[in-house]
Amino acid sequence: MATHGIIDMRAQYNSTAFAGGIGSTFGQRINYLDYYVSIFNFLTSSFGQSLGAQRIAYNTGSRNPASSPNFSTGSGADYWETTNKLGDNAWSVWKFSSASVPFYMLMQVSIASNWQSSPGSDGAPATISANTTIPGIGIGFAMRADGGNPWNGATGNAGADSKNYQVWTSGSSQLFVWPRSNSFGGTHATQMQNLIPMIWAGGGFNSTGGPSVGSRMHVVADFENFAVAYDDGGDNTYNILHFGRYTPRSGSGATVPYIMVMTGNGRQVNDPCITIGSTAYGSTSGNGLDEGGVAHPTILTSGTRSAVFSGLNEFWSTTHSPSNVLGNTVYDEFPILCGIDESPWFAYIGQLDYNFIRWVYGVNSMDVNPQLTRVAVGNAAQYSAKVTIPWDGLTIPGTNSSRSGVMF
Amino acid sequence: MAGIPHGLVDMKTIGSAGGSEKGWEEVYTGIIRFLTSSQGASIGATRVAYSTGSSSTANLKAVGTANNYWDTGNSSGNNAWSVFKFVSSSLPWYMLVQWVGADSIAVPGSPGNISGQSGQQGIGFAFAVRLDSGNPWGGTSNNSGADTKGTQVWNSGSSQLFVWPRNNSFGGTYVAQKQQMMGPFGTHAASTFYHVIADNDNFAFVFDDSGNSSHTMVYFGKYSARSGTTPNVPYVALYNDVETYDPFIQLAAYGTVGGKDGGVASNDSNSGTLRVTFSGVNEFWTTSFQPNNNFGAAPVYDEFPVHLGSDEGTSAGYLGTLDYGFIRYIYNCASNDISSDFSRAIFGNASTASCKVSLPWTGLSSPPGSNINRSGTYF
Repeated sequence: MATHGIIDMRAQYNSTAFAGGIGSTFGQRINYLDYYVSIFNFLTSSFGQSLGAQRIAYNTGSRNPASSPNFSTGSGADYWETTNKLGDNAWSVWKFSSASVPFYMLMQVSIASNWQSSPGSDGAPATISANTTIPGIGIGFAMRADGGNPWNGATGNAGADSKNYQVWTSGSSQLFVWPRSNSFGGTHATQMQNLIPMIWAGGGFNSTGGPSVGSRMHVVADFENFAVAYDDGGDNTYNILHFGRYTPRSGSGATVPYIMVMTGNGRQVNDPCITIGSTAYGSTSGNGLDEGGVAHPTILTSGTRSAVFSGLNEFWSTTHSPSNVLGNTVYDEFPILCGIDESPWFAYIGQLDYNFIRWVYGVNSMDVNPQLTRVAVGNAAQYSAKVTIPWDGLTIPGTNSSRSGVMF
Repeated sequence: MAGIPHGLVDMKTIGSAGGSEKGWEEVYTGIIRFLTSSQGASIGATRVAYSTGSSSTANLKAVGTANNYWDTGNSSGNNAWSVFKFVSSSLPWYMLVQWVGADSIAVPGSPGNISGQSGQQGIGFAFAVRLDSGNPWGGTSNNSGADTKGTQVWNSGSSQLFVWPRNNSFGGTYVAQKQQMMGPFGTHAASTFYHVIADNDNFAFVFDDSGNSSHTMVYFGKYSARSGTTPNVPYVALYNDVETYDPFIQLAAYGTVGGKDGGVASNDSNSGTLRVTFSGVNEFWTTSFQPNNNFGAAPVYDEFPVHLGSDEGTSAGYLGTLDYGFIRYIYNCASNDISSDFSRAIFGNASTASCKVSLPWTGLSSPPGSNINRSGTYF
């Protein structure tokens, strides 16, 4: 299974960078656009193609309300200062066709404090963490039990597509949508318009409206998994957003074994990085700091429900990590176990894909293994439980200074 | 799990009128009956030495002449002990089991201690392995009932020695003579229930003092090593000294004299056995999550692996899991429940909402405690 990514994307602009142009209010928000474009470019690259990523719809976005001459209506999906620039509320929908059950991802960027303006909201007001005004990049996922296409909008795929009133549709199958608030009993179940923040200005971060200079983002994926690690402010404290397949426990018979977890911007100091036990990921309101959800393993009509995680935390201590038993000194990487955690369904269901995402303890955030094939993400404190995700095998984390990052 | 599990279960002591030491003698006898039976032979249990014990106990007047119950002609005497080799394991291991009556540990049972006690009645277990598969027993091996212990109970010979409990090993209180054993001790009421369950690689002695459905346990077995490691001696032991532990195997260090005892073998020849710690995914040990109600028409109780690691400063870290075929964590089942196919039974704290362990069971519909008598049931 191929693993690829775009890593070490670095925010370029501070709040005064555009003081003479579109103004300081939007200066840092340009970084949202840059991140969006870089991820877009990755997904359309040969790397993205080898993952099975196929764009099926997109909109290049509207003119920015700052009315700057440098920021007119979007006409493409390139960086803001180029001819074929991206506009506000641009969005795109991607099919991950190589997954065992193909999944679809909607990604949208807003910098103008209005997620409800066209084209992000054609017929269906988009929200990010149930909010309509906070700028950022929002992301949502959907899949059908039959592997069919759940996207309910236009698919001209030429930059002018529109959303539908219901963002996702079940068609003749069963629909699973993330975040959980878009599913049955959720605040956004009718239109399924809610997105969760890949990055944003909520949750106590980005008080000036956008990522500060030096903020970093890494996106890695394989056929079945997609993860975003984000360090607001470049202080090596990361949150993680992960969507992917879990390995069902023996006897489960899960038909759509996919799960999402997002440790919101306000959770960059989490220890462990993904909270275990008491925290349910995926609220019905869709505005929590811990969002995500899991497809109900067997009752297809139940859609997506809250998820919970667990691990072998007795070994998360300075005594046991690094492990120095049996002639080895290694940092053990442990599986992340998962469950469904919403009444009346409470159950252990399996573990996240160990090849993709694992627990680790006692390493620094952005430490890599000797082969540079995995990187640790989480709290900047060394002695905290983090997760590891794939890395490119070449890059020393933090050494790239460009917004376009490093693709692999 | 290696081989077919067997056991002698649902045994109950009747020795109450004359004092509790009769009960300890019965427990010892029950264990020996299993290990010397055809079922014991089928898991590779081979006796290599034994002593029928002394005549000095207050209530058991006769000199021990064999290994039968105290009220029969050929009973075992105070401080009787036996050593068994488990030959069918990939790396043969040895077990010493000894009972002690009211007169404390003395010849022929000395040197010895049970959980740090030399003046208490009880039943003790110790285990040993040599890296070269050789015999670590330090005493005589005439195997006719009159064997003696050596000054050092276990011996490395020309190989490396691993001994349990941990305090018989390097840096331990009993390293010189390696005489420490672990197991329940003290006065106990009659009608104590107990079970012996084993396979080629694992041995469990489950003890329910006074039959109140709360258990203690002595366990020795082989663990499955985590990826990337190849332990020379992948064996671990534990003794639960308290009946009300929840989880039954504590998420804590084992290897302390007189407390949670046990240990795990190190690869370092200078370290021998080390303290061991256990772990499980306890976020799923709640009444909300167990039984698991999402998979099919009938709820199921998840059984989880028991993870372990060594727990001493110079050698600490995750090691792997106890043999999942033999022993597993389970939550919110009643103590003494059995699985729907009768192949596993649940032992631990009597409180239903607690984390216990499941072990192989008879395959018969009778749960632990329901068909109980002194002679028990073989499987």
